[in-house]
Amino acid sequence: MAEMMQIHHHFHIRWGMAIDIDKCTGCGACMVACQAENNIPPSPESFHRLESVHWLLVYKLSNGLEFPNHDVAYLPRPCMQCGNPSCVSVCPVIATTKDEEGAIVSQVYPRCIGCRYCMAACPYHSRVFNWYDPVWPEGMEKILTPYASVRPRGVVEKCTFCHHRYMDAQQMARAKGRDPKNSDVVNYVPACAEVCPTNAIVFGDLNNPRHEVTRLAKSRNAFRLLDRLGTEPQVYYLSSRSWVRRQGDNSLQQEKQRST
Amino acid sequence: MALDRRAILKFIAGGAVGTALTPIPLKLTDDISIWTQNWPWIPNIPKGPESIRPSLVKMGATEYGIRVTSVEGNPITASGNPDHALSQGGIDPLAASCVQMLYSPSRIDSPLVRDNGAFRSVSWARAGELLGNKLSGVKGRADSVGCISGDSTGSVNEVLSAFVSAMGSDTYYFPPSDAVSQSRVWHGLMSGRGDVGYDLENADFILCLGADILESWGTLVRNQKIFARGGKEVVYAGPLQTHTAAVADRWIPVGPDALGHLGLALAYHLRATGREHTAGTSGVQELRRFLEAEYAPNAGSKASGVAQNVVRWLAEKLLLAERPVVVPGTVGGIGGSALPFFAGTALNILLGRINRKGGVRCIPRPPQILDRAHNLSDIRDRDLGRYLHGVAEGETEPPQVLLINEANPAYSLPGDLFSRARKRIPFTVSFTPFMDETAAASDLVLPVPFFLERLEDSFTPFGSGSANYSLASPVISPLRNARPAADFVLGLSRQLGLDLGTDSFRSLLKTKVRYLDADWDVLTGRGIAWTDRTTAYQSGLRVWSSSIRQMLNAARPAAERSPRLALYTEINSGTDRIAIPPFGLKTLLENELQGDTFFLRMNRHTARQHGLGQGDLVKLTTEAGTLQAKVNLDEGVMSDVVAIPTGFGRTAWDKFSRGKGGNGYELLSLEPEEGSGLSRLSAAGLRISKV
Repeated sequence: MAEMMQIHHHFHIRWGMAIDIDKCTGCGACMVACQAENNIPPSPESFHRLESVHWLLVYKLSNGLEFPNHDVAYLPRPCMQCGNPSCVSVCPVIATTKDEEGAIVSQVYPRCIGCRYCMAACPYHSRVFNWYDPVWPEGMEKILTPYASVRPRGVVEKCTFCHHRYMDAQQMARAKGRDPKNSDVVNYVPACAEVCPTNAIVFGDLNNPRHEVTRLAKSRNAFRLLDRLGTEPQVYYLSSRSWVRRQGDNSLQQEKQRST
Repeated sequence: MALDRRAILKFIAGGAVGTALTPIPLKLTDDISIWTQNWPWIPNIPKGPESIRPSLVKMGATEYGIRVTSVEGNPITASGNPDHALSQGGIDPLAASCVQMLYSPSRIDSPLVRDNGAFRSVSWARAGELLGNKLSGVKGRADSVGCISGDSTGSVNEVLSAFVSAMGSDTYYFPPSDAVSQSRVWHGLMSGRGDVGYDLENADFILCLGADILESWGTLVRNQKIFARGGKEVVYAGPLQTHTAAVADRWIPVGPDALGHLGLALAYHLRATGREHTAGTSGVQELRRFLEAEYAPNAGSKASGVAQNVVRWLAEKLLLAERPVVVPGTVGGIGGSALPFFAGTALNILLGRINRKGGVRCIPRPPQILDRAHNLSDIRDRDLGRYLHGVAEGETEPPQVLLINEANPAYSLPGDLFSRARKRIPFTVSFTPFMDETAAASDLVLPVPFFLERLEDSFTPFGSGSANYSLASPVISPLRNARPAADFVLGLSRQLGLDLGTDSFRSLLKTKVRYLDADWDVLTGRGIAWTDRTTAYQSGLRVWSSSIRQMLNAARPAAERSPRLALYTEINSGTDRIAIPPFGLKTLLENELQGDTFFLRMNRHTARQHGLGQGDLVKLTTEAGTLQAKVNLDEGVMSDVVAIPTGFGRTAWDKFSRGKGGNGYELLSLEPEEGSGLSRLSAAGLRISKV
């Protein structure tokens, strides 16, 4: 584990999230804000696990018990921005990297050749492939934002923790003569965290002890998805419910479940 | 120079180094990658200065301040307004889609008149002339004109209701909702003054008696912000694990028709402890006798379906909490029977929570500027279902012209009630930005600007803990040939020689702002709502009405054993007024909508009883109608309950919503409720069969 933690050392800022599942009502405001901010195209077809383009999904979790002992929870899943990302090492054209201050896994659309190795490698299904060209109904393209270029057919895309907001914050810091490498100065939030009406999504620098996310990540109720794979996700989840924490590791039924 | 071996090796080595160092191959690869993605049909993103303006969301759910970001004048995104008391920076998924709805394919381009069964586009002048001629012939008759308004907080109601009054009629209604049922019970059965609000901020124990406060009830985003701050215990009682139940401290399963019984069973326990507050309240002895006879522990438990120890635990919670409050409602926020609202409000009275910190706050009547207008509070006391039932059955004289302002009764009223009533109404006019189901069935369709394109206001949305007034200027000029309903009706009234008491909608709003002693610039410039924490003094509240017995008898379940229907609302799939937005469609998962088939929810026990499994296609049949759905096994639904989401089954609108799923309202029928002045919604005779 100590070796794994060393991979963060070269990042002064390590943006991360702490999502409190006990506060998430599953309303979906984060999903809509993400679509609007990042120019994710509409589709008249209903959800299709393999073909729908989405950067953030809210999963409904169940404790699996029958009524009346049933319990339910909602789990928003952005890109985990892994500290040890399995997608980066398999990209043949260096379209996805983790080498920039902030520790966000990048995705360079014009460089992507659509081989989808990264999708196969990602254990979180965070990446999506554009099977079709994006189409907006007539006039609706006017709501495109200047924040993310429109991706054509044949390109893989994913959540970027609203990297453009980070760049804007850095630019603002430079303009004001302040240190753009100080996360207290460039303290931005992604669109999903900004709109969350129950403040379930807390965003900040995991290397900055003054940021709430750092405190939350160390909570005894904190866990990460598929932690044992060693991908070192920068998205933490919190729940006081043990069954929710257990599902975070998604153990196979025949495996011995570790206590959480 | 001889071409010797050394020269060849030098050439090869030089070529290898050159190839490795030159940027040309990399550049060419990069260019190929870029230019094979740079097609003319891929839209370019805008570049230009950004601006942020406040607005006021009005999409049929709750209303609050938002901020709209624009690039070169074009709105691109919406977010919550941290300065607005009912947003506090939060936004719901429907409001977050509002900018996209500006460009919905279902927007109406110009006035449409029905001609030989099909719509024909006409000018505004022609539309005004046509409607003016219709109205001039019936002016002064009590049945001349009626109005249904889907906006229950705006000053547009002053103009429309003043117009209806000036025409000689008093037919003015809001669609059924929890707000209407609560208002009718408070004023009609309990002699309350002002309007009921909930000081949830300061409560320490919240019992949601059916009300899905974190998804579909009242001031949704404010409620979510209050929940986020923590420090209070929330218990949800209802037939399914709603979004509120998912994060509440406890879910108590109660049948959709038993919420009132649970409330009265709890009232019995308060009575039994002798700790209820009765000062200044009438009907206490009658209620005590009634509870003793009908809701003693065994009977109360049987009626509500909740175990005695759970009822007792909940009653103790209410008694031990310092600032408890009970929030009555229906799972889908669709209103209906007075019983749960009566029981919930009676509990608040008996707990001494009226006009107390963290309890029910009685908000003074909304201000009224136009003399002939109907007060919003009075309109909320009227039951549209009952009225249209009378029209459909021939018991009530139908209006000659029915104006429908941004309401969608053709979609959201039970069964075929609206279409039956519609057959007796000679001419219907729909004011709407979108081609919804009601517009599609109207004789004249008048496009109004979407709320982002017009001057808009709102006075105290249902559920607010204090009076508040919000006002917003347009963030963009109308994208269609649309006119605000208020301005059009003011023009029409001039044409008919009627004086409504104002020249324009703007001047009406200016007067209202002055009346409230508010600041126009603060309201519109910063999007900060005017607020007032004054409460309406209460005396002579009643906790008993002889009509309770009548309501209870009508509410008793039929002897036949059939599953009960619970309609629930999830705001990402729209409201009665707004169909599923394109953004919203992408938030629905594979066990909510698959192709054009949507899913109902039932637990395994219920499924086994009907021989059903996950994904089975079933037909639901009631006395009112039928629909098809797939089964999603969900243990978060109590046994013998079938849960169906609202918002699906659109027959108008656009390709993002039309034909997707079924309309749950079509399974309901409406029965006037004796004693309350409201209507019961019933899914009597519900049958499930595998297709």
